[in-house]
Amino acid sequence: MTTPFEPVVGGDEAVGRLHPLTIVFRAGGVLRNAVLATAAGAFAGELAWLWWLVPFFGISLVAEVVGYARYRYRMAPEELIIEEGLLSRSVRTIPYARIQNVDTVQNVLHRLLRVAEVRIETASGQGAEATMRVLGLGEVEALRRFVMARRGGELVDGLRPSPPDPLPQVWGRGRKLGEGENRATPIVALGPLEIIAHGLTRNQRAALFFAVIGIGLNAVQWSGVGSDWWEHVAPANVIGWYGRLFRLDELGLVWLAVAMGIALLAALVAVLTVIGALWTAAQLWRFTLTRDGEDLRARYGLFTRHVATIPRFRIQSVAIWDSPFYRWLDRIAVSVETAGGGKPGEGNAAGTRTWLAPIWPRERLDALLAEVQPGFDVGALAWRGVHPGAAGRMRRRGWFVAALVASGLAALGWAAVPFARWLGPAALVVLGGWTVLDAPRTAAGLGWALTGDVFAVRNGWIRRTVAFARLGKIQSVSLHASPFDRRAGMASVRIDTAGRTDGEHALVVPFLARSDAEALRDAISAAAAQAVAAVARA
Amino acid sequence: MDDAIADGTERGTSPRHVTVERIVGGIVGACVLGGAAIGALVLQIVLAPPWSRLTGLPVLGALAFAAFLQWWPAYSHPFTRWRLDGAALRIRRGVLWRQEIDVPLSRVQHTDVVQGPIERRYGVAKLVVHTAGTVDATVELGGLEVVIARAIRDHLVRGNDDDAV
Repeated sequence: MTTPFEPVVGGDEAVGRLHPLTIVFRAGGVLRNAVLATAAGAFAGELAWLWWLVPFFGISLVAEVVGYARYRYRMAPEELIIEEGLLSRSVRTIPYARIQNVDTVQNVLHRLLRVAEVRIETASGQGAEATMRVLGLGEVEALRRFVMARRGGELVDGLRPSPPDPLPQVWGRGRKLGEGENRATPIVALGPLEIIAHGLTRNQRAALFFAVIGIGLNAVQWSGVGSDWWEHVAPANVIGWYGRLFRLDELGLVWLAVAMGIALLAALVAVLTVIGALWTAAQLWRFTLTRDGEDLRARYGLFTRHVATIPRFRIQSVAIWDSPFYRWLDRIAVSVETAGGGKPGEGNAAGTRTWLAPIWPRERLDALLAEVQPGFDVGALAWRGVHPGAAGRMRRRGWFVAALVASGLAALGWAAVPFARWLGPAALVVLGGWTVLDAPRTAAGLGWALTGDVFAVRNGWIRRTVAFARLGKIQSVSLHASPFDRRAGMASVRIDTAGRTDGEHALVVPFLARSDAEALRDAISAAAAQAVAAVARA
Repeated sequence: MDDAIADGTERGTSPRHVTVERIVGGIVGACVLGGAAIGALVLQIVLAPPWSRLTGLPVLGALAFAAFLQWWPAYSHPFTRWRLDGAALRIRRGVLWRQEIDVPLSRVQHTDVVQGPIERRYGVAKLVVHTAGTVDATVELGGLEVVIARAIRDHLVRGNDDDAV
């Protein structure tokens, strides 16, 4: 450790300061702004006014040094107290009991210099309650232990299983623990291949989006050349060459251009997917999950290293899902949603989603869940389906959308673009065919279970998701009926937790028979009201 | 008016809520009507004869809107209902898209009773219930008689010994 943590003990209190390197990092920030301003000035061709900025940057530099000098954190018996500021002195008091996470982020420089940015998170949903930038690793560990020990207190002590039971074997490649990591039992440790396999599944939609944008922009550029555009631009020259070779007429050239566009799109998607996979892999590199008493700790990142703490009893919902690729590898992904820590500007959508395992062998799911949600058995869930009319409603909706798109394209075709004439019927066939294929499978994939103290929802057939929440975590339950629902005698049931319930963590059951929906709502409501004290602290 | 309201009976909101909504609607309607009248006047000056016959349309539209604002409160009033028992507050609302939300008493973080000037004049109030949830973090029930709103609030606050996040 660069500076060993020396608590100044006054009574029961320990006082700490930021790491001296804080000055270097903050000065670096000021310097970066100065460089940016100079670059902007150079770009504008006007550098003389920059001299006026010198005192400004000088003052901010002094302000950063003073800010460092005046920063104190104090670990009082009941709360963490952070004092900062020179003229307007702010004293922030954060009771340990309210602290959800003490997380750290380390970029490459931080890691070289053995310091970390610390984020103290509470359930307020306003982002980190306090960000301490930067602390030495020794201080971070001392602070974390201090906070976690006091936060738990008598609340969770009774539930704390003293030594974590070691798993018989750890899947994935083991590795040496880095400095500042404690030697709690690793539950999950992922090697490079698994992480890259995970990355391949993550960015397909983004890759497709950017490929379409890229080709679209180029297409706009090409189409601006004129009606005989394939005579003028490079890819169009190729088309023109093939066109002369095979003596294609105008329609033939258009189809050739479409085919080449699709090929180009596929190639771009492939390249972008690989880049995205490597990017994701770098972010989740050497992913490990450990348990230290009641706290789960996820560590990941190649360049910027993250340590995210997930107190077990703060877990709001768990989602387990796969994709065709994952099914082929016999893998699943598991994430949890905890209360608080949401970024500002997201409205009420507080909550933090954290991987328990971005990729994990299906047969070891129970072992993972046993560590995370003891007493929960995914195999014991008694699944129930939705209303038999669900597939019919989805099919009708699908055909409606298909007809809408097809008629729009057909209108466009007759009005202006000659080959769009074929797109209308083609869209009807493709979208309609997809609906026929998709609706019964999606309907069959929908299901719910209310077993013991768990409410679980499953859906999807291409990407299959199981999300569940303990009844003690349910904040409210609502029943929704659209006019279509009412005509079909159906309703949907949705639950709300202190974590976000969207994406894979969606806890909604659509297309329920009205009576089933009411019974489910009543059961959840009654059980949730009773399940408070027992589960909330467990 | 203590626990008598927590008997599990489903109740509607105050009929005076309709009056309040109609007054608010009347103010909005009058503003829209005034705007439409000015617009019609401008069109009358700007447009040439065959088209100037259409200048009445904005006024007609505004009249229809104002009439809707007088009709809608009475029509939608019976669709908002609430029920309180020892375990949860249930609110039912929505005319076309209907929603019933259950908030267990133990999940209530805090509550507000909100009254605007017109609501104060007619003795109605809006009850706002806050939970630690995300999508339904605030649940509102408008148009309650103020005594009932306060009684529900007292009941919710008293039932809130645990706070479970």
